[in-house]
Amino acid sequence: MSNSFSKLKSEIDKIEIPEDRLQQTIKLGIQKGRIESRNPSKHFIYFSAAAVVAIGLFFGSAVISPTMGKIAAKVPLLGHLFDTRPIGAIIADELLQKGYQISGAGGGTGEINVRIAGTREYFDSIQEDVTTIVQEILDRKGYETYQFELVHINETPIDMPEEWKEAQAESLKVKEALREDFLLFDVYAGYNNNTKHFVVEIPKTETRAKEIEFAANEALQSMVTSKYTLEVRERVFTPIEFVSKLSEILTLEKKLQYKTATFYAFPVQEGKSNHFPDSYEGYEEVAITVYLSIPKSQWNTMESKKIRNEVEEMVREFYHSKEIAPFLSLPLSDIVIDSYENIEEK
Amino acid sequence: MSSDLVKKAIRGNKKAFEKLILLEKNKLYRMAYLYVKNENDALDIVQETIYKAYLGIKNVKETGYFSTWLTRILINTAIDFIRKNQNLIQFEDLERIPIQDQYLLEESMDLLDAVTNLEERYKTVILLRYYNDFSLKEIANMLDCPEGTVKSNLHRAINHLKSVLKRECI
Repeated sequence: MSNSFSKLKSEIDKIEIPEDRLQQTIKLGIQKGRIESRNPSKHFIYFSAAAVVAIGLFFGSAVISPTMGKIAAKVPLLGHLFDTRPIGAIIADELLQKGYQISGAGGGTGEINVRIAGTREYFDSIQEDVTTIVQEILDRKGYETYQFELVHINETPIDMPEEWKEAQAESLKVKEALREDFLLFDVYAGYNNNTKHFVVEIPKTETRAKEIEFAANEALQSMVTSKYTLEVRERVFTPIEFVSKLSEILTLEKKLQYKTATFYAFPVQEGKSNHFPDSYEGYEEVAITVYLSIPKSQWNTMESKKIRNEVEEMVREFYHSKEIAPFLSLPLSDIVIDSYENIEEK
Repeated sequence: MSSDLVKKAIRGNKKAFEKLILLEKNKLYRMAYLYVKNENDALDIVQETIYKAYLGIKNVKETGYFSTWLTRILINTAIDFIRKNQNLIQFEDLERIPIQDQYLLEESMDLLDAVTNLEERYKTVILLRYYNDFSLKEIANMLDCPEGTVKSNLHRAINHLKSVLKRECI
């Protein structure tokens, strides 16, 4: 039988390939994909101060969860996981902190642009390093699918304007003031066209949006002397965002403790065992299933059994924590921990 | 297949995506051809597959699964194509072949023809197992069905091929 089927393979490989037409077909397929994927994007450039890092929420959850607390104790800067500033602001901060001359960073759906100021020679000399840094940030923050472009702009680089630093400090104060009475995800500031823009993110379950807006305005009016705008925005974690945060935690935790295991976390469509929907047409996530994979080579060890139990516990605690749960709109249907033979080991 | 290339493609590198497709193009075309048995339709299926893959590549989480993932898109696209075009089959194509001629036709069939004429679900498992060399577990994941179903479909497909190819020693 195997002989006949090996013959089948060679027979199939004899099917003639219309080379030119196939090349043309490939080009057309890619072209069609490119056109489709180019969504109009909103370009709003966010700036924020490098020195100020939004922390707090994670440490809040650390208080109530022993497992999460254990992690937080080991990684004092884990708060960055819940840094919900726009990705452009995070990139701008990190690049400025490292001393690069940039004039902005921002983007829209699926796209990120970083504008490098100064001469062409300067741009050429730092292009590679900046690309590495930005790519690393995008990976770390779960934006690995975003298309990233480095742009050379011959204009004056940002010199951390005072208003910008002020806006950051002010947003932190607003956050502190509001947190006494409300559950917030974050408060952050952007700065554009000489206007400070404050965003207050609240959970879906919060019914007092007007009250929060009033309280935020009250706090801002007592501090901000220049022009500003305020937006109170509902914040819901999509399953992908939730799992992306989980991946970050597991990656960090792996570095600390789970040295032998490699986890991948991703949501799957309810009722489907396959991880990769081949089309998002009609694709609707009705629940979060967290799928974690351990390489086959590590699957049967005692150590991995312990790890599996601990990780499962951590995922549940994370999901149910009083700080995270109100921001999730879908139920946690399952945590599947499995092994794969051909998983790529890192 | 280079996992670096897959990683780059996932991150949005268009050239890496194109390179990956070029590595897979012959296999994609031949698979599509076996479903629709003509060049034009096979090329349409390949184009649709590449388009879907371009939009979905960012969702591939494990580089080792790229090939499986791409093949799955192709199969779904091919089967969709066949279903959509079923109503367009010309009347004369539906005319029954006289029993005697049918027997002669079967006798002269080689393995490739026999596989090409299999019902889609049987053809799919045969191609995935013996042309793409995927394991039963991988096929089950790809087709989103239990491994047992894959096994039984494979078994039925082989039995059917055996009965069709009476003179062949399968």
